[in-house]
Amino acid sequence: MINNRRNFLKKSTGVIAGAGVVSSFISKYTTGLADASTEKVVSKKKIRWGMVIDMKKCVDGCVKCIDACHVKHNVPDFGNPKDEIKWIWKSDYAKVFPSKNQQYLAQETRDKPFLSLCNHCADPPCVKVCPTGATFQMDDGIVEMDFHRCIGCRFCMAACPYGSRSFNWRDPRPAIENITSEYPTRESGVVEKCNFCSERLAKGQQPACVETCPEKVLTFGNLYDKNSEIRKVLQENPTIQRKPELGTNPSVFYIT
Amino acid sequence: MNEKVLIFAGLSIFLLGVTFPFWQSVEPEDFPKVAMETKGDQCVAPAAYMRKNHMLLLNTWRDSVVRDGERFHIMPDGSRVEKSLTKTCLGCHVSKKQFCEECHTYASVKPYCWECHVVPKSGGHTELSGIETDETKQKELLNNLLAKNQQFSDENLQSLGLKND
Amino acid sequence: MIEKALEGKKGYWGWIALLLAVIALGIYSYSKQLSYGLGVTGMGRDVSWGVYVAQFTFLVGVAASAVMVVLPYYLHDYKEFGKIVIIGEFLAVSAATICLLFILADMGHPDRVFYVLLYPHPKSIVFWDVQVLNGYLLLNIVSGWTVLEAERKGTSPPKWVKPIIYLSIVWAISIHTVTAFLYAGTPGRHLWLTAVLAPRFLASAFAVGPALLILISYILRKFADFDVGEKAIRKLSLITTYAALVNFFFVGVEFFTAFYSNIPGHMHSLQYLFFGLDGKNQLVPWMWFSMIVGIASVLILLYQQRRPSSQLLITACTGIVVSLWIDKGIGLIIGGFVPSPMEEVVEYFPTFIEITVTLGIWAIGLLILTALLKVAVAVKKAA
Repeated sequence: MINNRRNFLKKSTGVIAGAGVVSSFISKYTTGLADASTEKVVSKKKIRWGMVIDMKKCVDGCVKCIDACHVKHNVPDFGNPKDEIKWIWKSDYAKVFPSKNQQYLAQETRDKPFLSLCNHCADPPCVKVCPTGATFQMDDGIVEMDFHRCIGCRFCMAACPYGSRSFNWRDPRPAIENITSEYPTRESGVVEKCNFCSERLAKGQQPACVETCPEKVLTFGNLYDKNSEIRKVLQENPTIQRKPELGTNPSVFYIT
Repeated sequence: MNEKVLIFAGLSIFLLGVTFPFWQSVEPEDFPKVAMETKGDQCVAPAAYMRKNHMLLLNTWRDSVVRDGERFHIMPDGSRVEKSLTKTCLGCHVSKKQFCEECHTYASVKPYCWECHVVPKSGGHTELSGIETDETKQKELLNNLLAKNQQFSDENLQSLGLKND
Repeated sequence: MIEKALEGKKGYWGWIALLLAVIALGIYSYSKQLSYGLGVTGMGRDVSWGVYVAQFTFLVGVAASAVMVVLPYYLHDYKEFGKIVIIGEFLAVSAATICLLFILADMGHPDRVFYVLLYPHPKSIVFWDVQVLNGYLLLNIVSGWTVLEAERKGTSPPKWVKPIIYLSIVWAISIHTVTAFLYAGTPGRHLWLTAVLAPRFLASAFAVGPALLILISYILRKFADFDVGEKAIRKLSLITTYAALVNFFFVGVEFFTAFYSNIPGHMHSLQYLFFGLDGKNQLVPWMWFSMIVGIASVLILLYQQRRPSSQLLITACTGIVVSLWIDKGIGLIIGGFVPSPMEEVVEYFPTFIEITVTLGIWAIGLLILTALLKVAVAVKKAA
């Protein structure tokens, strides 16, 4: 028995030492996984498009950005909330920031309609749940829609925590007042949303909403470029994001 | 005996039906006259290739534009054109009706591109749509573009209000 | 063996004719949906899933519940289930088939359905749901049919069926867990974002499935002169009772977490469903009806364990099925969309077309079930 005890102690020390070494490696790996709230450094990509919306400059009742976007992209107007398709719109602060809705809000914040659009998240839940890859993330951070591949399952609409997506419940063409040939329309049965005007960005133009706004409410640019205007605005102004606790990492910031 | 008769009768009817297209030939319509004029000197690819493979090219363009974000096609002379059915293809080729539908109707092909992609005003010639409002100038532009086209029939030109030279 | 489904008395053909009529109406309505778009339904921008997905969710549970008879019989040699196993498997086949049909009916572009296979995205739970549901359908139809055919021939089933049956046991758990993951993984919908969703799905499935089997047994007794055996029915009623108890425990647990923690996001959907929110309370009567009927049925089931009575059993089983159909379908699916991610309360009501398409697809399921059961009963009676 004594001999066996020695052997047992030898072996168990070895095993425990080995397990300790292995688990130290494991914990090194898993600590990194838990750091989801720190900034995602995806160094290979050179562009991450982002937008800052300065609500202090936004004028009550003005909808120029909405009109510009919807006209340039052939977004239909059905006149009823059930079939409604919207890429960018205005809503109450309490609806755009439900988790930040507090008592004794400054009246200016509480009563002013806030702009709402797709946040082009860095960790988009809609992209994760899409079964066909019809919605996907581009190299420049834009969450795009491939209307040719969408099967209309609307899972992305269920997954989006911001309500940014609309579905074509019927043929949109009869409800488009002035069809422009600059951009296709969509057809019944596919989901659509703001695309950060990727077709304009490719030609070196600003997104339609950004370009149209007379008050310069919207600042658009490359979040990875430390010297860009958008980074300057973010540095000099306190900003908030929508539902940051959900881990989606939005690319849209608000100055309230 | 009765069964044999029925079997042979059934077989005959089936054979007649299955070979119907061969022995009951319908007079073919005139081969489509396609408006083959372009703004520049050449299309994005040679005509022979395009005739066979335009859907392949369009599908490749579609995936490269939408999924890869590569929106420009480099022409042989180095210039860039947008990979766009509406703006580039129809921007050069005169009209959807004259160009696409002639062959498609003949071959009974029904692509659903146009459910979403917009047919530009004035039948597809973006140079004319919205830029040139003077009617005479419009006709002149169109005439110049059609000048090289030999396949246009009189009828087609008449419907456009022009005459073949 | 399928020819046995083509022999029947007047009553049988009358039932088939009724089902075909409902199916025809469903097809007509679906053609309207195809030409106009999904706008013919009551769904809209805020409630973007409705009756179709609700039926799908409920029916995946019914399909999964076959494990409740397969497991005791094949794994634990519980011979009393000898006559009911095939019924459970065929119920799973019919349910799984119409699950897939409901998904198809709900798609905006049904012509692109194969894109889920052509462009696979394993990160999406839908991808996995398609695999496991089709796999389960295949497993059950193959094993059920093979075993039945062996019985008809008077031989023992081939050896390769056994591993398939064991696989189907595990697979049954997976189909409903994967379906629960469809909902439980979405970060924006607080009613769904709960770890207890998958266990709750399984509990309600194991309550509804055996309850349906009991009801089917009584129908077969009455119309097909086929008795699965009193012991089998009693055992099934025990399974249903326990599963239903667990299900309502989970409901209670959800209420506690939501209302004790007082977190608005967690409470809002339950408030809308059970008390009304922002003056909108369309579903409140439905949810209370479901709760009252459900709990009453559980109590009857418990009482029924001590003093067996087929009348009470039938009543309680019907109650369980109705209650959980409302809870899982209407409560869970519609409730998940109200309030919307922007805290807006938009109500939903299915349209005539939506309802007729739904009934049509249900009728297809019943038609498949009828045909399969006709075959099974004929074989078992002759054996």
